[in-house]
Amino acid sequence: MTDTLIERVSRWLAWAAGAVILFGCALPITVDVLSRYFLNRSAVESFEISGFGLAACIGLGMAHTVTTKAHIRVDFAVARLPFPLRAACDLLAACVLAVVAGALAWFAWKTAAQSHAMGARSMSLLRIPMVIPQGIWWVGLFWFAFVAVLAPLRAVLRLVRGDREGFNALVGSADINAEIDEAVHAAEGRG
Amino acid sequence: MIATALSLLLGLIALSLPVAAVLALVGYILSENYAFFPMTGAAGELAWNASEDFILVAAPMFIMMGELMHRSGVSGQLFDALTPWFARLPGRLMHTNIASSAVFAATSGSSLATAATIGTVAIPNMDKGGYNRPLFLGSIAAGGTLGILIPPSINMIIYAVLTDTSVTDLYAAGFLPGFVLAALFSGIVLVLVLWRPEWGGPKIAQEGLWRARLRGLPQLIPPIGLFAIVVGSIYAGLATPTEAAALGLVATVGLVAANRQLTLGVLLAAFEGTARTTCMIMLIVIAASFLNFVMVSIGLVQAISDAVLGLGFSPLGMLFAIICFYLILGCFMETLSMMIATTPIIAPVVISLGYSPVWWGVVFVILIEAALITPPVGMNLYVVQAVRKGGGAFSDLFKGAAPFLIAMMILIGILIAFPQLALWLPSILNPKTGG
Repeated sequence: MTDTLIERVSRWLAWAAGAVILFGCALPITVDVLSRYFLNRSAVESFEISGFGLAACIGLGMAHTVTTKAHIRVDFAVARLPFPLRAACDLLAACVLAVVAGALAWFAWKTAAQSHAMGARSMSLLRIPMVIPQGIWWVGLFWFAFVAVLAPLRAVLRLVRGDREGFNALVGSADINAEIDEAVHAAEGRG
Repeated sequence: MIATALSLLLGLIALSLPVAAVLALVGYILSENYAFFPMTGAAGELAWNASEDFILVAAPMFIMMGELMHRSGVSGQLFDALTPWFARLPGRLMHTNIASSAVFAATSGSSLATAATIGTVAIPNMDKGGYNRPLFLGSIAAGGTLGILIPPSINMIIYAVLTDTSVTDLYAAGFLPGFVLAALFSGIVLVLVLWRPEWGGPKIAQEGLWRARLRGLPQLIPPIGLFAIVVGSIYAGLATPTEAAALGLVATVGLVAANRQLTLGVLLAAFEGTARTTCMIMLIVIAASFLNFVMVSIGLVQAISDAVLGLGFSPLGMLFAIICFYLILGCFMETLSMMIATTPIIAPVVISLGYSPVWWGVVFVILIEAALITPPVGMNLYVVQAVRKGGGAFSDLFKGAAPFLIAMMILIGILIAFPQLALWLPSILNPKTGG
């Protein structure tokens, strides 16, 4: 049950991350461009808001890249190896990603904590306390690190149980088919 | 130092570690061994700066535009509208493939999206018979690559951020080469079909051709309108490239809604796809910005430039070596990660050889296009093969794409001989920085 929960939460966050791009970046910028054209002034500080929007999208959506194995690996050589060697490579890749994710979450935490300690505010008229956007960014990256650290552990558990398919589904080299299917599926979704 | 860095980079990538993790790891190892003080102190700040970079905000908006554009129904209308125009040209629908790819590319920043979208509407026509299948499929795979050369272009935005080049100049520089490449593709189809007339496809009814041509014109309004919004607004001085992407995304949502395709399911699928692709790219960008920082701080970039110049090759010879390097690497590596991983190292070398960063940006994007259609890892080939419902040998795609690879090499040759093909338009539009 925990399996599906991790994936489900990550997907919800990815939906939120995408929504931020449309409603937190594209809409405010459009409003600004139009108001600059017609009213000769900016209506919202879209320059700043959209930057924070991208950071929020990156934070919130990152865990979903682990559960859907979106990270690019040059694996055409490894894919030809016998299962034990390939599994070792897959595990190593998952562990390295977990370390990097953990480091990123740690540095993000330090950045946000420092902004909080110094009471840093944004440069614009809005003077948003930097800890707010950086905090959202950090929360997402923390979840990313959590999911990334859990992935190799769960994979080992499945391996111990002899569940090779489950192991592959979790950390196995993502077949390019997934990405292709996605592009094709989207194209055919056209009405 | 150079040998350590390169062997680490290539070795870890060959071990099939995620590219983003490799870049971060190499950055860490270099900083531990060669830096005077630990560089990791800057990591949080670097990651934050990359995460909220206003220029990069354009990337997810273009990605979402692509996700939604598939569903707008624009591509089918575009294909039907362009078909009668090529009815008399030997090769017929293959020219339609290339032309509709070029027009679609002018609204799309992604090559995969362009190939998938045009392929879905074009391939049913191939199955009706009369065409040489490899060539027909090749024209779709190659035509799709125009997505990143003709502005807008996601790859150009990322290149611009990594090399501190103007997106506006890059877009302007890609414009003419993009259409020249489309013309070269068409020229190659024409030559091949004149040589082997049986490859050219069945005749299309000649009667009422002009009426069909004119009747189709209104179908071109949505893509041309989007192009005007996304690219026109930049050069009219109304919007920066990022703002133009926002306008384009809002207009695309409107277009999908106008075609009654805007449902919650469509929107959520687009959100999820956008988040996934954006985060995948951005983790590489964050890692690359850290690696780049370390490499500059420990003097590695300078050392590589010096070493390359010290080889004593002529700039042209060196350029050929770099082009060959990318053609080979492009066979094996996914293009976005190849681009982000190598740009911080290679672009400074090319610039120190005396080439303009804008010009190299265009040549580089053409090399990336070549990588998209060279096996074993050529994503556009896979996309077209997957769209092809009836199945068939994958080797059809290799054979069919090969002639178009020649067109790309011809274009790079033209750009080396006449850099003005890329640099003329930016120099007119932006006299201060262009060219």
